[in-house]
Amino acid sequence: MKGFIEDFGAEAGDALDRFARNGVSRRDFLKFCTGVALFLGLPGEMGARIAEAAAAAKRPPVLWLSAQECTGCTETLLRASHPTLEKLILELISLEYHETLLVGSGKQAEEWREKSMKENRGKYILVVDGSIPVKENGIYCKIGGKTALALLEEMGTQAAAVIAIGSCASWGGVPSADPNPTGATPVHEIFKSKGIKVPVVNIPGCPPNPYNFLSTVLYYLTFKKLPELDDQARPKFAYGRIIHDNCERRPHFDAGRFALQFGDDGHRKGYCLYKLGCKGPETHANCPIQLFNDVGSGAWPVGTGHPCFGCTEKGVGFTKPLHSPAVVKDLTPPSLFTEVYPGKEGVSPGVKSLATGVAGVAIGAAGAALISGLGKKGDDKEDKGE
Amino acid sequence: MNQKDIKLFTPTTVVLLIVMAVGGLAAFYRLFFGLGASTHLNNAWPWGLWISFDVLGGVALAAGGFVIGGAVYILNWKKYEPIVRPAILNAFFGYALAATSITLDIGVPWRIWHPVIMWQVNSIMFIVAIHVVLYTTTLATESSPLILERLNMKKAVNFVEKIMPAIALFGVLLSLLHQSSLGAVFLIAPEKVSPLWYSSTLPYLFLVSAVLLALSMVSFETILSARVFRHKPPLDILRGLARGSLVVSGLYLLLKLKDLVTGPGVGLAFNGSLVSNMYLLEMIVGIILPFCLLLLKNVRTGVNGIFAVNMLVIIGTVLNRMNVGIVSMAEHNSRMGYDYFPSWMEFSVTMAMIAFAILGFKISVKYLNVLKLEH
Repeated sequence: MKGFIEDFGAEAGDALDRFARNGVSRRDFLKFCTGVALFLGLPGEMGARIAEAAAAAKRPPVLWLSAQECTGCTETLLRASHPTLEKLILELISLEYHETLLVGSGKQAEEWREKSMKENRGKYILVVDGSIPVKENGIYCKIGGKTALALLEEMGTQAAAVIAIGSCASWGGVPSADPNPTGATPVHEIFKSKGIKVPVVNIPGCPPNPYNFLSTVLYYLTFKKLPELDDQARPKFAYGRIIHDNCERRPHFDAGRFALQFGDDGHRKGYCLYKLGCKGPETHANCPIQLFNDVGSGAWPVGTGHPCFGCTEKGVGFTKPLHSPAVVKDLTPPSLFTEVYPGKEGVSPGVKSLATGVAGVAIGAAGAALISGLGKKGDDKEDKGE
Repeated sequence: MNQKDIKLFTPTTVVLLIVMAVGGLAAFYRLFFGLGASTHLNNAWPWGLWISFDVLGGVALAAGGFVIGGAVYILNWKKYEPIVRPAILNAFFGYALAATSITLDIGVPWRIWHPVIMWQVNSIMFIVAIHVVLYTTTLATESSPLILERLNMKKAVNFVEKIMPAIALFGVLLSLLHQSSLGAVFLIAPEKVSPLWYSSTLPYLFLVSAVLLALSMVSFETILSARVFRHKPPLDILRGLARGSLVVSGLYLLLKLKDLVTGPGVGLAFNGSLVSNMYLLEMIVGIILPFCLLLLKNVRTGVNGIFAVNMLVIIGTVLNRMNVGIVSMAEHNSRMGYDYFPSWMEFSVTMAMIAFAILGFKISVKYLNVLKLEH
């Protein structure tokens, strides 16, 4: 490792000089890369390989296509902060085209996009945010006179890989909510219908956690392949578990302590939000462990006292009513929960006297029945004679 | 003795009327001032004496209607024909009282008809409600010849008697479902009900014990009315019922023991706590003693022996319903910090129900041809 860093220093000196000028020390940079490796569940020494890839002289080109979106995905990316990520990501990759961040505009911007696509054909990463309208040939979203649908087809076929960031690009998101007037469609479905074989990674969320996106990009840069994906093409390291599994309020769920109304006693005490419609039990995301905005604990929806509304999950976010209870996946809770009144033995005095009274009456009556019924013999014979 | 000799105003009748008056006033008080004012029910004890005794006990005591009705009208066991009318009338009283008690026990009594119109098919309470309504109607139809005879409506009597097997079949079907669904009601509260009673077979246990109780109750009534109206008890009927009781109590004992052994284990029944002792009492009085006594030939053939066993089964089964309804939840609800002892109004309403059933039966015997006494 030590030797490697020395070698690394020699090879990647230019990049590190560049970082240093931007206020990122070599030490900070290696720490960040090791942190990324750990977040991805890779061994610590992988941090050095990530650093090598990130600091490589030729930065991989990235083109960013925005369709029906709200720029939330771009904004969330700008919120990443360790270390000053917007600087780092601009240095790590070569962001060739991004409508929000472009210096140029209009014809100039479109020309640059076409030039870059030509130069980096088959090598660039295409990031898409926003869903693609397909109704009436996609006239609902146009950039430079071309529909988003045509642009995606054009840019997608020449890309090395596509990252669909945000729920809109991953599964449709808000624009696809009923009645879906524009025919909003996610990237992978368009690829499937057009027969485009370029791999697509989905990073759903509204907006997604920037580190889920960043880690996927760095993984790709490092290993030249995509991280392990689930059946919906989401990276497993980020979307492998449901929110409910790692939720800080899970013990309240298990103990049956629920907030029943906003502002009620249970809500103030931080009880489970399941009965307020929290979709954590059916939503795959790492929100409770990754949190948002790097401001420490509680910085995520459930932490602030609002139920998860399932933004990352197709068929949950923007689809199910906000406050209807979630379908609990993997485990079915009992309709009544185990008691939370441990330690008290015995029976309260009222019930005790009731039970004792009942027992007394029963014993008395049974005794009387036995004595009167079995003691006498007289009329038995009389009856038998019948 | 014939019907005219039955005196209506005896000291017992006066006492029953007073009890009914007090209970009636309490019931009115409950209707106008609510459950909180009239009962000692609370959040942990939503069901108390009225449900455990009046409804669970009352419905079980009414099981004679479907057991004897089924035997006579469906299996055509003519031997039991003389007791079918009192059995069904008795069941009608039992169900009418259970329905009254449920009406008083639910939070908003004037919405008692809601389940009939607004079906909530996922609720066990819906099953219970719809069965009570349908079966009370069925019992009324089964009992209607009594009234129709009195009114001399021969055609109507003939019609009802013609369709009686179908009505009886419907009644048996409803009873099988209803008796067991009362047990199933308690399956929704696994953490409240003590494992001594909680079991997935609880519905079947309710059904089997209801059949056992039906045989004993019918036999008990037959002996009792023979004594009250001073005629000879029909011994062959009583012996047949006793043989049936022997078989059913044996089955019931087996089921209960299987539940104990495969469920909480024998140890829990003998840990000396109040709840365990109540379980043992129910087992001994209601099942083990009757079963062992019925095994003895001179007990199950003599009127006095049969009468004693009947008493034991009635006490034991009502005790079982009280145990499931109240005692089984005592430990859990005590841990929650709640207590329950019925208020005097709850007691008086329950006592009025019993008084009403006794007096109603007596009046029916006097004015309608229930026991087929000589006119």
